[in-house]
Order: sequence, then structure tokens, then C-alpha cells
Amino acid sequence: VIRALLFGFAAFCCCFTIAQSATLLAYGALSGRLLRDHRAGRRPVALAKVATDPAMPGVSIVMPAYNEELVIVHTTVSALAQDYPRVEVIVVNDGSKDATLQVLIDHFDLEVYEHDPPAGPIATEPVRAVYRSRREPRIVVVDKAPSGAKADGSNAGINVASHPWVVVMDADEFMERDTISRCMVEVSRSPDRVLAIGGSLLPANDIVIDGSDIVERHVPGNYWVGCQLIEYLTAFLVARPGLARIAAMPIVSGGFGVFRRDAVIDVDGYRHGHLGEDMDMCLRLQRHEAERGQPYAVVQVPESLCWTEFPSTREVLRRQRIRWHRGLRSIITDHGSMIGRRRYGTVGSVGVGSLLLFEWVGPVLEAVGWAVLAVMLAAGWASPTGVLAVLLVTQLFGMITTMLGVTMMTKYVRVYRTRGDVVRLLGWSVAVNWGYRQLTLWWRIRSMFGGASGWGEMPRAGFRTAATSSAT
Amino acid sequence: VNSWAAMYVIGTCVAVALVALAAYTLAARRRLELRAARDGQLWKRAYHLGSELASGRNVERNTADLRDMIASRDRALVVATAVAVAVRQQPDDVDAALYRAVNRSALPSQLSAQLETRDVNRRIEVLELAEVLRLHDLFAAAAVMTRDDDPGVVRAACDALVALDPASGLGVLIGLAGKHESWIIDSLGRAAHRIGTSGNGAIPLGREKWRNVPLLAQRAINESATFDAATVADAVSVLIGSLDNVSASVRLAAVNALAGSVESHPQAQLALAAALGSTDRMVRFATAAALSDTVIGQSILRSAAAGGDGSDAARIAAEILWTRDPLSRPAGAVAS
Repeated sequence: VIRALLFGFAAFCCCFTIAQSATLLAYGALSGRLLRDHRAGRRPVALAKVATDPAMPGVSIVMPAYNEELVIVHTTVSALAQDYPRVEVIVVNDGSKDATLQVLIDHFDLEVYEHDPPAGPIATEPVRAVYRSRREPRIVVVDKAPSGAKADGSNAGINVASHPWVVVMDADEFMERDTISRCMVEVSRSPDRVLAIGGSLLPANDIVIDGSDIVERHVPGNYWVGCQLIEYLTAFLVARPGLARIAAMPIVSGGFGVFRRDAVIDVDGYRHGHLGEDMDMCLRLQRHEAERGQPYAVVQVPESLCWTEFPSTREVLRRQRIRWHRGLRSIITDHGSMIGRRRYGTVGSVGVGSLLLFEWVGPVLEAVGWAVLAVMLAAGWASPTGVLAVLLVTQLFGMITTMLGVTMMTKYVRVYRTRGDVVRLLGWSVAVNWGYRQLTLWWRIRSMFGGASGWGEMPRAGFRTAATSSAT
Repeated sequence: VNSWAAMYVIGTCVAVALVALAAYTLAARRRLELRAARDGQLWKRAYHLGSELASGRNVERNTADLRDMIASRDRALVVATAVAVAVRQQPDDVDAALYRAVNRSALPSQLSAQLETRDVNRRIEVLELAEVLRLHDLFAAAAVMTRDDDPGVVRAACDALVALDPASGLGVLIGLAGKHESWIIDSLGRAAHRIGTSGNGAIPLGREKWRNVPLLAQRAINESATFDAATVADAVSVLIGSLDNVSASVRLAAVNALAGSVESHPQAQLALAAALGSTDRMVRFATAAALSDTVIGQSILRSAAAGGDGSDAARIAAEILWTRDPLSRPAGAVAS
């Protein structure tokens, strides 16, 4: 009886893992059309219109910064170089211990514009001063008391934003020149419905920048970064466009997201102390609009690219993943009630539902399933070839989903164009399923049973510039 | 044993699919690189021609070259897109020679076929091209598209109509104003402003427009739709009505749209003066901000601020204006 029960359970776990991959393939099928519409080179007339139309709404780019002295100038320069006509850049120095503020003051010739400004519509830690540049009127720097959380810095930036749309991004990111314009094309087409827009994040570890331009893009050689790249391609080019097409987007990435400012203020901004603050914001915005009975859309624009430094060591990556999974737990606790409620539509049932099923329950089932198979193997209840066959089939399905992300990138977004880069990407899409995926699975399981909490710090390497690259 | 055998079969199939996907990815990369190289050259040539024509240089030779390039059906869209981008990026007024060249080419007929496609984005792209390149032959098709189910198509069609014939576009936008969407009010304001600045609300009809009139009339009968031209006064009336709309974004769009006509239409002046006393704080301050940009608006602000029951927004706006610009300070303000 025990043998039969274990066999049944192992078969269930195996089917569940395959179903997980099959769901991703279904999202991939849905996302194909969206990606075709958004493919590289398409929409040039709309882009030219958005970039030249003075009637387009302005965009405030909010960048909370904590100890970002190495990258903050590059990030700000890339934000200022956007081809969108009305852009304001707000850097929020969230009590950095390094020279982040001084670097900004020196580089952009800042002066104090306002000491102890009045509180904004969203409650934050006190703001010490607001700086403006003497030579670049589009820069605002907010110096505030440390809060230890990105949410507070983002809220402080949203408070001082003067445009109806805000881009919330990390201070260690580098945008393409048309990143904002590509998002705002969606706003120009449906200004009353669009609530939030997500772009795609890619690793800045192997790019070379020159001023405000990216002059070289390579597929990373580092194992951890390469595997993360494949994960991101699967998420941004397979899963999220598919979810967006059925109006079930549960997340707009905290690394880069465009939001309607009045809607963010209506929900009191980002929540303090929430480890999954980006997902929480996206879901609260949608709940708010659904409860008011307003039509809305959360859009994914896969070709809107933002480059960010990925963790390149095992330890930093482990901390990040544990934090993400804790954030997911809070999300399921706070928003699980959306599942099955007609009022919230597909975002409740499919969006939050798939988070619960595939991101929360899935890792547990997968790990327990492998453990049961190991026990059966040890007890002689399963043949080694049979276990190997199960392993191969589940891994092959996993490889198809990860490879689909590479295919989508090659065919539609076309960031990495050389044959060598595509071959290397295909290699990573296979490698990610052997070792990396199991390790992240283990970290997710461990995060359920305690361990380090909080944001932790990620050591920055900074961007490679053309000057340093040629010197090397 | 059978289940394991099934597993092997499934595994083999999945492995074959995996290899096929990898091969497809590499082949797709190669194909796209070749196409990008070919279209890239074409794009550069068309963009250059478009820039030259938009600036009125070498008109005859460039017109002939452009027609030759457009004549090929599979290249027409690339060429039209490159020319449209060149027009969009032209800092000065576009020379009429460019519009003549594209309207006399095979482009309108080739694009009208594309409007029949079910691909929403393709239809929007074609309507954008019609708007930018002023393709008058697509006027009737664009008018029909204003009744499309997709809001993006409706918006692109309205923008095209306003560009091709502002008075007719105004009529369509007034008909759509009941949808309570801010972009309609925004477009209405821009179209009204454009007609207002062209003088007396009368828009001269080009020959291209006349060609479409019978078709338009036929469609109007068949589809019970009216595409009558409207006057700026009609538009201003709709905008005034929108000041009390339930949607905040529509109210704000109405304030901005009326501000565009404030110098040419007493109705708009009256409406904005009244909006300074609105019960909605946001409308009051948005009105004050919009009025502060024009001379007439500033005088309305002064009157409202000077009146005993002047609104808070008008008072604050007037204070800011007088502080920044002493010349606009009313007589007696210094003494007081």
C-alpha cells in the first residue's frame, strides 16, 4: 500500500511539474502575437509621433538610490538621454552612506532648492532637502532620511514628481534611448485605460556604454548571470506577455515600471516593509480600479529594455531569491482573497492563482516528488532507468520552455544578434535546467523555514564604459 | 513497463522538439539578419528621399524616385514608414510637394488593402501613415474605422480624419464625445484650435477631398452614419459640457482644450471664467494654470481675483503672475 501511495504521489508530482512547463508553453503561444506586434523595428511612425508630439503627457523618472556612487551618474545620464520629449529625472538619495549625493552635486552642479519641504500626498520619512541643477533643469535630487526600504524612496520621488506618469526604476540601471517612448506609445493609444506598463530587464554585466549609448551587448559568460538571463527571458518574453494578453498580469517589475501617478497616490504608494513591493503595488492598483468598476489595462511592452546589474555570485543571488520568495508569501497572504472572485477577473484567478499554484506550491511539490522518487529508488521500488526517464522527461519539458524564451528574443526583440551570442544563449537555456533550477528551488524551500531576512546589500561592479573597456 | 516505455517515447518526442526549436531559432536569426540588411538599405534611401521632399529639394527627381520605390508592393510599407518618420522629424513645415508625391503614387491603393486586415496593429499603422502623409484617398476608410471596436483603431482613425479634414474630424469627435474618454476631448480641443487659427472656422476643401465625397455620402446612407463637418462653436459647446463630466481626466482635458480656443472664442472665455468658480478644486486650479498662459486668460484671472467672490485659484494665480511680471500688475496694485 505504501509503495502504491508513494508511486501515485510521485506520478502526481511529475505530472504537476510537466503541467507547469505546459502552462508556460501556453503563455508562450499567447505571447507570440503580442511579441509580433511589438517586434523590433515595428511601430516607428508611432514612436516618431510620441517622440515629437508636445501634447504627450510628461513622465517623471523616479530612482531611489542607496549607496550607488559607482553607477548613479550613468543611470541619470541614460534617463536624461531619453528621446521622449517631456522627461523629468528625480533621484532620491535614501540616506546613502557613500558619496552618492556628493557625486550628483559635483557632476550636475546641484544647488539646494528647498530645505525641509512640506510633506507630499504619500507619507514618507522626512525629506531634508530638494536639489536642482544649475545647468540641467530636468534633474531633481531629493535627499531624505534613511528608511532602509526602496518603497519609501520611491514614494518620496512620486511625491515631488510633476508629471502625470511616473517611471519607478532602480538606480543601477541603464535605459535604451527609446525605453520610455516605447511604453508611452501604449499610453497614446489608450490613455484612459492604461494603468501600468512593464518593460524587460536584461543583464548590464556584459554591456559596454559610451555616454548615454550602449555600444556593445554580449551574452554573459558568468554561470549565475547567464542562468538568470534565461530566467528573465522566459519571464519577460514568454510568461508576462501571455498573462498581459489575458489581462492577468500580477506584477510590473520593481526594476522598471511605468505607472499613472494619480492611481499610485490613490493607493497610498508603495507599502513600507513589504518584500514584494512591486507585485503588491501592481495588485493593489488593479484591486482599486476593479473595486471602483473602472476599466483598466496593465500592459507589458517587451521591447522596452532596461539593463541592470545581475547578482554574479552565489551568495548574493541566494539572498535575493530568499527575499523574493518571502515577498511572494506576503503577496499570497495579502492578495490570495482575489482568487476566484469575479470582480477581480482574470488577474485574481489566473494571475494570483498561478502565483499560488506554480510559484508557492510548485517548488514544494517538485522537491517532495524528487525526494519520494529517491526513497523509492533506495528501497528498490523503482528501477534506476525509470527514475532516469522521469528526470529526463521533466527536464526536457523545462528545457523547451527556457529555449522558447531564447527563440522569442532572437525572433522578436533581437537584442543579441550575433550567431555566437545566440548559440551561447541556447547553451545557457539547456544549462539552466541542470543544477541552477534545483538550487533556486532549494533556496525557495529554505526561505519558507526562516533564515536571513531584509534587503541585504549587493556589491556593485559598475558599468563598463568604452574608455575602461579599451584600456583593459 | 508500458508506462516507462511511454515515458521513453514522450521523452524522445520532446527531445526532437527541443533540437528542432534550437535549429529554428538559429535559422530565424539568419533570415532576420538578411531581411534587416535588405530593408535597412531601403529604409535609408526612402528616409533620405522623404527628408529631401519634405524640405522641397529636387522635387521632380525625388518624386519620380519615390513613385518607383512605392510601386513594388512588398516594399511599399517600408518606404511609406521611412517617409512618414522623416516627415515627423522634419522641424519646419513640410513642403506640399511631398504630399502630392505620395498621394499620386500607388501608396494609397496599396495601403487601403491593408486596412482590411484583421491585425489591429497593422490597421493602426496604416491610419498613422494616412495621418502623417495626408493620404486623402483613405479618408472614407478612416471615417468608417472611427466605429471600430478597438479603442486604439478609433483613436488613430480620428487623428487621421482631423489631419485630413479638420472640420469633418471635428464632427466625428463631437459624435464620440459621449464616450467620456479624455483623449476625445483632447483631440477635439486640438482640432478646434487648428480650425480657429485657420480663420473663421472655414476650411478650404482640397480637390482630394472632393474625390471622396460621393463615397462618403454612400457610406453615410449604408451605415446610417453622418460625417457632417462641424464648426468650432459646436466643439466648444461639447467642451463646455465636458467640464461637468464625472471623469476627472475628462474634466481636465476639457479645461486644456478650452484653453486652446480662449483667444479666438468668447464662449471658451466665458466657460473658463465660470470654471474658476467650480466646486472641484482640481478644475479651479487647472483652469487658473491654463489661463495664465495667454493675455486674455490673464485678464480673466485679474477680473476673477479682483471680484469680491473671486475663487482661491484665481487669487493665487494672479498673485504669482503679478509677482513674476510687474508689467502685468494692474494699476493701483503697487499703491495697495
